[in-house]
Amino acid sequence: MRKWFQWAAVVSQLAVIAAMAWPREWALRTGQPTWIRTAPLDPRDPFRGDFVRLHYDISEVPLGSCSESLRKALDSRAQRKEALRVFAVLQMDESGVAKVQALLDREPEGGLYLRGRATGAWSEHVMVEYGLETYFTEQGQAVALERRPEGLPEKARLEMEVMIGSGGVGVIRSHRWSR
Amino acid sequence: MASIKDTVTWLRGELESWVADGTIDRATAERIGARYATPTPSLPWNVLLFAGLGAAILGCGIILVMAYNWEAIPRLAKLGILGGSTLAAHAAGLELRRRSPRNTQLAEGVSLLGSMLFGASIWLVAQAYHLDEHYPDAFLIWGLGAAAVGLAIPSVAHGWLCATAFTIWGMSESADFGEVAYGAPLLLAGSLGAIVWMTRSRSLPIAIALALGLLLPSGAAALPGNAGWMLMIHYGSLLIGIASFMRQHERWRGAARALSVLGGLLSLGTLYLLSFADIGEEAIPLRCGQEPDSVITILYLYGTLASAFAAWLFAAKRPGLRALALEGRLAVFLIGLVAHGLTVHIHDERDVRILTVSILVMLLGLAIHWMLRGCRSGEAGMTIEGSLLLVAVGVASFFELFESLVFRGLAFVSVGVVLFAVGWAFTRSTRERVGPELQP
Repeated sequence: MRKWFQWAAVVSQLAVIAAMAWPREWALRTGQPTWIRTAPLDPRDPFRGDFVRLHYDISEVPLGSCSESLRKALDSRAQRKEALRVFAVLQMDESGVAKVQALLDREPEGGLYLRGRATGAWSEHVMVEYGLETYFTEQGQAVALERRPEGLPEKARLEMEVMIGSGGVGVIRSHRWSR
Repeated sequence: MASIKDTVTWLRGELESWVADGTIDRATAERIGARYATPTPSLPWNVLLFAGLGAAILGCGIILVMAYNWEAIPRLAKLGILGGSTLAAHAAGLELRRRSPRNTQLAEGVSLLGSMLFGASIWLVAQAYHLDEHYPDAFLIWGLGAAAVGLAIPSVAHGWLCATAFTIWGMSESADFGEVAYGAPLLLAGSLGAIVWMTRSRSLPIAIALALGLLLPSGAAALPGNAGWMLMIHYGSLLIGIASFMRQHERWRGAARALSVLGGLLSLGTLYLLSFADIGEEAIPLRCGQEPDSVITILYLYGTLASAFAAWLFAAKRPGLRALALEGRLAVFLIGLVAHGLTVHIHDERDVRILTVSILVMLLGLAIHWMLRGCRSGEAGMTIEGSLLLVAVGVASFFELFESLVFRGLAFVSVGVVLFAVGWAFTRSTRERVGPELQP
């Protein structure tokens, strides 16, 4: 009996790792590729190595794009200082980069959307985190991402390719510089 | 100089040889042997050090190596390597334990490596999929995984890993996010307590004490109102109550001492800080509904108080209530209760003054009790504890009670005189106990 408990404990460790990895791996393989414009900030983490911290254009959503029920929920949540689960419905602009069409407090029935957490509401916009704000790189390469490569115009921006799977789970796949 | 354990072992060997050569008979040898307790087998520190610490450092090294994040190695290959290594290490540890029961420490070390690799896998998943989740959760998951294996084997080394992971989880929640990980002390006490129960480990209670010593102050600082202060006081009482029970058992006497010291520092240290008016003013009572999560906080606080009360009731069965009272340990619990009652009624400066003066008077009473009792019974530890508490009370009264420099000076003179008197009384008491024939 004890032997079964021991193996169950070992398997539970592996199951946790699989449960963490599987939805992201599935999104990377089957999700819809979407480019999102961002700005890189300073890198470092002792356990996971070098990374850049990303602040997306879609991280600040105008209040006008929020649904009525979300606005009410934001008001009550703001008093309790809790983050609120939200869903950003995306649409592509003329350059193929995603913009927020609407921000909802309920999961949409279809279309392209990302799930996130509203972490704060200001007078004109809502701050949203999508769990895509870190981009890990091989050691030494994160610093390079903070600077625009030579030869690119000043308005060139870093864009992340995000694979969006079911339930609005997003996983970063790659990056590029806009031209 | 040889230790008592070595001397007793030597004596037992000699007794056998004396019986063998007819110097004494077997009954005499057994009577002599019965006067000295059989030394308990010591922990195999060398194996624990090399296997346990080696596994921990090796695991940390693997985590740091994986942090390099080689892009040439495919994501799934990295995950496969770490997942496979985790499974292989656990399988090897279990097999080693099954085949060679004498090598349990080595087997534990190998299993611990498996759980270190489990931790490395958590960080690798976060790195490979660029996860930007709440990072303390990684330590919670790591601790839960280690607890599962630690309970299933059962394993002391996993208990230490658990204590480390849960402590980092709780401390990072309060330090980086201003949140209180209410579950951290409960998970620590629950999982490690169960492992202690199964393994009869003498080192794990010390791990619990160290973890709580780091966890509680950081968590209490993030609690609203007087909850943090009162939590520290009652947790201290809880630890002293548990230690009072544990010290009745020879095996856990060392760990009980560590718990008792930590409990005393938490409880008396917090009470002492509250005796300063500036700090006492911050002990504003927490009223249900005024603060976020106040219901949980209040439940948590009074749950701790109830646990402390239960621990004292349990402890009172063995050494007895009178013994606990005489040793002054019960007084620590009671002073905490009175201070809690006083903070509930803080409304203005006068109430704060009542709180600070009351605490100082109660601590002074405890210091005098410890000094008198220590001198009478010849217990140096108790006498020193009482003297240190008296000095602390003297310093606090210098700042808090007297405006006049003359009275402040007299307070210090009084403390100095009392300390000299205690030193003289203790020496005299010890001399009387040793007997005149042994005096030079």
